[in-house]
Amino acid sequence: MSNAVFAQLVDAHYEALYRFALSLARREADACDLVQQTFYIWATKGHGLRDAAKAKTWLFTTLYREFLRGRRRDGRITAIEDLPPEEQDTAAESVDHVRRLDGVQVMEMLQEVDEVFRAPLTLFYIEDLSYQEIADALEVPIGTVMSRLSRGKSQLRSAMARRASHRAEVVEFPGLRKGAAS
Amino acid sequence: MTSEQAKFILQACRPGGQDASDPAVVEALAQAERDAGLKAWLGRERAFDSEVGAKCKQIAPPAGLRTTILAGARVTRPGRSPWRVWIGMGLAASFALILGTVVVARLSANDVYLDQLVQHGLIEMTGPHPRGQPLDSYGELGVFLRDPSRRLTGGMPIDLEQLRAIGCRSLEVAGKEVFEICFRRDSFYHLYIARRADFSCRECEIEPMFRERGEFASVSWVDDDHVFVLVSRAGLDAVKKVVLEPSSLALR
Repeated sequence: MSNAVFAQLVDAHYEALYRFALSLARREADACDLVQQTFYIWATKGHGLRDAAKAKTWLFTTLYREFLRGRRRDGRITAIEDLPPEEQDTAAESVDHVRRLDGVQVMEMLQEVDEVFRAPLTLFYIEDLSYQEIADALEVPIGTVMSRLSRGKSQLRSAMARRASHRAEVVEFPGLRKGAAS
Repeated sequence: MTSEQAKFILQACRPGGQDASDPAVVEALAQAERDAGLKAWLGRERAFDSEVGAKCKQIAPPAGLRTTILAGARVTRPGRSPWRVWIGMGLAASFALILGTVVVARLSANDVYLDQLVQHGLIEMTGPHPRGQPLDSYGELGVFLRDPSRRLTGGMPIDLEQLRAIGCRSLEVAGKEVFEICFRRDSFYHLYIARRADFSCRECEIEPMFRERGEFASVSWVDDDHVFVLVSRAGLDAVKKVVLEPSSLALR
């Protein structure tokens, strides 16, 4: 693969891969490592992939595998049977909650979602992959992706609702700020 | 299709409408047209998903990530068995990330940088490889490497022709010949040596440059004729002791 073609591949996917990695790894440096590692693997073996159309899914799959490898070393995988029950449905206020957040805050909320749901959920919100492609990337059945998206969204909404209620509890009154009274 | 089934499918559809031609989605959307409650839910769901998706897209990778990816990928080694590449990837990538930001701005098409040698040293260190020549066969150099009182920056007797003649293990890094010598003092060390003229160095790399990542520590340095990389699991302090004269060590 020529440098130019490789650069095109990087340009097409590295931002989305970084967002995915950040949601998984939670730390910028680790996310960068994962993205870098993914492209490095591509550079050394992935270019053997004949079907260029599958490059995107291959990259997401590889990044996810690398993340899981690291997780296995840490022994911090959430087992499916440990998962909490499905939570709340979409409420109108959920949209208001998310509107009040910026990108970093939304990413923080995503990072609160259980890992097993977080991976498909982030891929879904990145919008680069269809649910079938997410299933391919994560190597799980389509029905599992749909189920995890549903539960992941519920957790995300719950996290946002918690944050919104917490913020409501700590509203500052300008007149009572330190220094304002003096 | 029931409304519950339709809901299950529709919540997996991207809010931008990219999945609108999917047959299952088409059917689910038709169901939503027939069910006012489902349609209202779909409106809220899409609004929520659109907002979250838009916020996610606000997250930008750190400046320099793209260039470090491109720099890291420049290091390839034809013929390497895939599993060994796999093992070394994380380390190589991590180092490329740390180093690449600075390096890339200075890369030209033909330059091979010392960083690449560092990365290869790390990759080699992570996997098993053929046993090299016994240290005794290196003569004066072997004695030097084995002697715990000698520092590698203190006049190591290097003769690349002799290394070649001895049959010292050699690697190819971006087409450049690199010799590898493994030796033991308090711990195992892998030393990589190449011709100075084959590698470009930044000014800061003239002096020993130490790096630490995970369980590995490395140092690279140059003299007039050679470039060197030392990699070990012994830790940064041990690597410093092997490389630096005590007087220099006290300053670090």
